[in-house]
Amino acid sequence: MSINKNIYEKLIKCADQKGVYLVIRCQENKSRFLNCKNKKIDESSLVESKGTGIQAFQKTGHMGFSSVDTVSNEDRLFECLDQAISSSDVAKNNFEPVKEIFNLKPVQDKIVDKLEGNPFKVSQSKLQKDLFKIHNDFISKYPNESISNSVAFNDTNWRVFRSDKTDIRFELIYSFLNIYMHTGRDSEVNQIYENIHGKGYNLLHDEKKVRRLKRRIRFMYNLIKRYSKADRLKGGKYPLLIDSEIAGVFVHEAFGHTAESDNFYSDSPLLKNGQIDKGKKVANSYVNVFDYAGKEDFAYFPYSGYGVKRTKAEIVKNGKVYNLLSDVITAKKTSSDLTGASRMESYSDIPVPRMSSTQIELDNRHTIKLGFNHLITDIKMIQKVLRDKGIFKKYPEIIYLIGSRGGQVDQQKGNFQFGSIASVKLEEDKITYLKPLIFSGVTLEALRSAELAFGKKYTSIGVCGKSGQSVNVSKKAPLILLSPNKFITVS
Amino acid sequence: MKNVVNVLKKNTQVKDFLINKIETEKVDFGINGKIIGGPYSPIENAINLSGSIKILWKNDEISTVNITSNDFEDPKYLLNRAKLVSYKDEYGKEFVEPYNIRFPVKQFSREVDKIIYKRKDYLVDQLKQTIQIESRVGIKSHEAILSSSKVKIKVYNSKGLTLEQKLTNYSEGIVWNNRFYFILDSRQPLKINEFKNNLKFQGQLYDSTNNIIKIGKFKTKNLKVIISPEETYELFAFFIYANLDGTKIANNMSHFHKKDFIKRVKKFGSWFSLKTDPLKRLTPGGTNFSGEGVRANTVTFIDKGKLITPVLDLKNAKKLSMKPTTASLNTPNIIEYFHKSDKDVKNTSVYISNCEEGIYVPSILGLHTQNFITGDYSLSSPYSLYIKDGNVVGSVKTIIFGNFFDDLNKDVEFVSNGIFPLPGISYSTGITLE
Repeated sequence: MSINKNIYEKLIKCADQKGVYLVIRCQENKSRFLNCKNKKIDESSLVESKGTGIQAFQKTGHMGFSSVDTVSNEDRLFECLDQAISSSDVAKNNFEPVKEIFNLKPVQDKIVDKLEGNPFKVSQSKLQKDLFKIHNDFISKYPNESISNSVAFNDTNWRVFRSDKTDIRFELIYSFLNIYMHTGRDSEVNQIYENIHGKGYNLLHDEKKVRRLKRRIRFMYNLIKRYSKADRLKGGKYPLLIDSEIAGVFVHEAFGHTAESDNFYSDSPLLKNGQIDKGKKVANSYVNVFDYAGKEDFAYFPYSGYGVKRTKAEIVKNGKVYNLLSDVITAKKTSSDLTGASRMESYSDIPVPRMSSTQIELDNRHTIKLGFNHLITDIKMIQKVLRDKGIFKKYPEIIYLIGSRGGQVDQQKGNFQFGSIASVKLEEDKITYLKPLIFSGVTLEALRSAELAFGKKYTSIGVCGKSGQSVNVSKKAPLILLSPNKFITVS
Repeated sequence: MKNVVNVLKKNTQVKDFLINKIETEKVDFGINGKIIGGPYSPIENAINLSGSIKILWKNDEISTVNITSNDFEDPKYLLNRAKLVSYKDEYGKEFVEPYNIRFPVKQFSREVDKIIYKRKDYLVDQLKQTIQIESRVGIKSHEAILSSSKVKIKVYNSKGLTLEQKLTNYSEGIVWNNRFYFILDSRQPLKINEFKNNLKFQGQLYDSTNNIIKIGKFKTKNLKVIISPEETYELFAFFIYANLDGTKIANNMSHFHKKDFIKRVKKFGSWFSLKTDPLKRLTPGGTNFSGEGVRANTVTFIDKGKLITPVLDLKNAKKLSMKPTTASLNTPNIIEYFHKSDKDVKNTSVYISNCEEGIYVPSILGLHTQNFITGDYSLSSPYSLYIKDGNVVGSVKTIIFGNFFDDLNKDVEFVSNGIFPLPGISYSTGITLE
């Protein structure tokens, strides 16, 4: 990292003389991207960017923010400081103060990550060759479809300075390989999107992961191939089996977003008069929802934008609301434990509480072990498990939603909608293929329907947008059976 | 920029190049809950330099690289980086020949420029007035963001093309409890008070969302579904504009195909024409040239239901053997959905008062979960308003469903809220109570 600490110490000293407290975030980012569509390279890029964001707090707690795209140009950094301070002056006469920042204890830490194969030193011809090897394999297996493959590598270094001598640096490394397949013609068109992730160039040579991606694509392709002959389901209330991808999106949208502590300024079903509604029963006692990303996770972010260590946030514990994804600004206000959850996309953004890896699990008594990976195994295997466990006796018709098209939730009241890529109706001795379905409803009521889980938790990764900022997130969930619920509609 | 140009000119491997340099300065802040400029929406100032560079190398490979301010400090490093990611692209080698813009269309306001540097108090006043207007119509939790920016764009290529323009933007985005949202966008400072009467009517509609009612079923078979102007734009963007994207058409990833444009196939009802005019003075989205240096012009994408052209950059224009189109479809202010002479746009309140039975949809959830290529949709609208005999009766949860391409072949009417630059639509489609 090329950051010169002396310059930042000068900025802090200068602000100190004016009675201003600073939080400074510096970012250096390097990313490489390659995309090929239908056997041709369509886009190739290598970007390096650097910048500094300065949050200036007056003694009263009034705050202003300014950012500039340099980490080394002293004149421009001092100009940026002046802007931040002048904005905090305007804030003094008008806005709400933020004093919580002054109570933090100083921290010094350094977390370095390691690239597993350096993608920034690889020649273009090698990168093209390695990506084409995978791409051409997909093209040869699905010659009638339009296929796009992308690979991206990223190495970001963050440094957070505070006026209390806090100095934290951490590095975030990730890579991903994705496939977007456009299948069928005219009214039978469907799309499949899947990805795998890693820590560097070696991802392209990780045979296990690439094989898993291929098997998942084959599984999804075989399903949506039946799209043209699939039945339409009459909208209504049904028992639902949702796969890991949809269950992951559900828990992310429905519980992750509603648990973000900045909802203090609006509303959330997990808050009561602005305070966490701790102990409120939202699910059966065997259901737990939490947010935590380890170093290997795609969504790893070890410190908040204010330099607070990120800790596990248990959102729903034993079926009851337990904690929030909180930051130093709103943890106290919402009476929740500080989990250091604020993140920012870039140096020019204000940190806001965000998820990392949001996960749902049911206890062992309510999780049926599977001897296979349910994301890539024939549906008949799942039907067999349901039959063996006598589940069809209780629910003769179960709608199985497979593959996620994402979702959206209204955070204040918890109304949601999620989309599936493929759907089937499972009966004791019959499988009926359906047109893709959406399910919509009210989050807190929906979680009460989580009745049984099947198999391991599988991870899906993605990018989550909020306040104009996109950050990496992941979701981990098993296959989940939701009992029929008047608050969930399938259509 | 001179140092980058010099390095590129001196490099013996470079055949042609294009530099698109964008300097941005902006200030923004907002309201959260009851708080102006709170911890999540403080006054934010930002200065940055961005853009892109395209190089055609003598070995016939090309590089397209995004640039930042650091690249202008070290252009040799930029060139090395660009070389590292060069690739063969038979369609990506186009550069625009030089031309002059004699009468550039003005897109810059000195008033916005002043706000950025000296008049942050103007923004504070506007947010205070926003709260006052909203409070009068019963909004208790406020959410808004105000943004002022100025952008200086330079486009230069090795063939001698030199273009420059300055743009300003002023926008205010308002959300009412995830139920209603409004976007005000201009090249000049806006006064929120000028919209207060329109917001007052929207406030009455919002108030009705608090009155949850139960209705067994709809009385009429094909009742009117009225979509707010803001959501209508989103529906068009998702189903129509996304499918007009030249990259998707060139790669067979769109609802439309190249031959549809060549044969000018009629895909929609005759009322539907889609046009952009980037040469509108002081209009968001307005520009004199594209980032590739293509001269801005009025473009007709769909004419009386017939497909005319996709949205095309130089590369995809070459690939599809068509002309580049300059303007994108991501700014509502420069778009027209239909020929004004062919259709009337009615005021929403007048339209509702003449409606026997209908549903007003202020917002929908999960548009991105739908299939944009087939046009099939099934969308939840938790705060729909039920209209009976010209009155808004109360709020019901609905799911609207259908096929958007088929819907646009039906008779569609238009309603305006006086806030969004484009109208909303009223049509008959599938609807169920949730």
